[in-house]
Amino acid sequence: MSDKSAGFETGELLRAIGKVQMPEPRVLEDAREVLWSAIASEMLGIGPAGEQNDRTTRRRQTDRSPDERKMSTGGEDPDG
Amino acid sequence: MAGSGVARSDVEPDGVLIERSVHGRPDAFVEVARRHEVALHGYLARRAGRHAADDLLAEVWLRAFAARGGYDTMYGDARPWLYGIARNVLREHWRTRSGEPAALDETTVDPWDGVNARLDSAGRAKAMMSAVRALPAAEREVLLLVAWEQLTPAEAATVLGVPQGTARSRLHRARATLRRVLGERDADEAGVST
Repeated sequence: MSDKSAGFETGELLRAIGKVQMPEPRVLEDAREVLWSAIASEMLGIGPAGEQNDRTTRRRQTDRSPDERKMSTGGEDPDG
Repeated sequence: MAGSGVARSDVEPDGVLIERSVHGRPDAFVEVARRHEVALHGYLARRAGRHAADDLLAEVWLRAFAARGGYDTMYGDARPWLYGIARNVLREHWRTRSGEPAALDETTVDPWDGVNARLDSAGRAKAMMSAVRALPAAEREVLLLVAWEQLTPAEAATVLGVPQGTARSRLHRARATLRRVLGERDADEAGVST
């Protein structure tokens, strides 16, 4: 088998084992609904640190990774 | 499999929407979520299983929304940034579950039967899974971001926060390893059958 054909087959196999089913529309809608809650909090002046998302907010405030706050800079996560 | 990257020139880039969401129109961020929700769910499902992905997707949106002020709007396509956030969500998920990543677990990569039907040999697919699982984690991450999420090596570098050259070399090594391992397996089988 040539390198080219082997590479093609490797790619095909990789894509095949990565196939997953489409999510149900309800799942996507539910996730968007949570996002809308955060948006509503901000628009109402409660802000992302408001009480409506207290579980997530507490985590965001304490241990959000620095690389979530920027797009392209920064090194690898030390525990990665 | 890949995300619904914005290709049409008359569609506003993600960066424009995110910038708008920062400056008085937070609801503009919902369109970014709509564009990439299937891709993000797929990213999560391939690595943590479908049910976990159902739960984790909302967490990705919350974090992305909270962090959008730091988005570099020169990047039109938000997928690498979103995958980076999803990656952190996954790591916390695994940490809290005190378990190993479920990626490539046969119970989480579905539909397995459907996969087999498209392959010449289920054994070959399993060999591929074993070979991928055996790769160093850093190489495996780049490889799967390119193969599964259809990112460029440069975009994968952004997700991982490493230089582009590093991502390219990891990808090269991973592909070479897979070709060698699968080639050796084929050679072994040929030897057995003759």
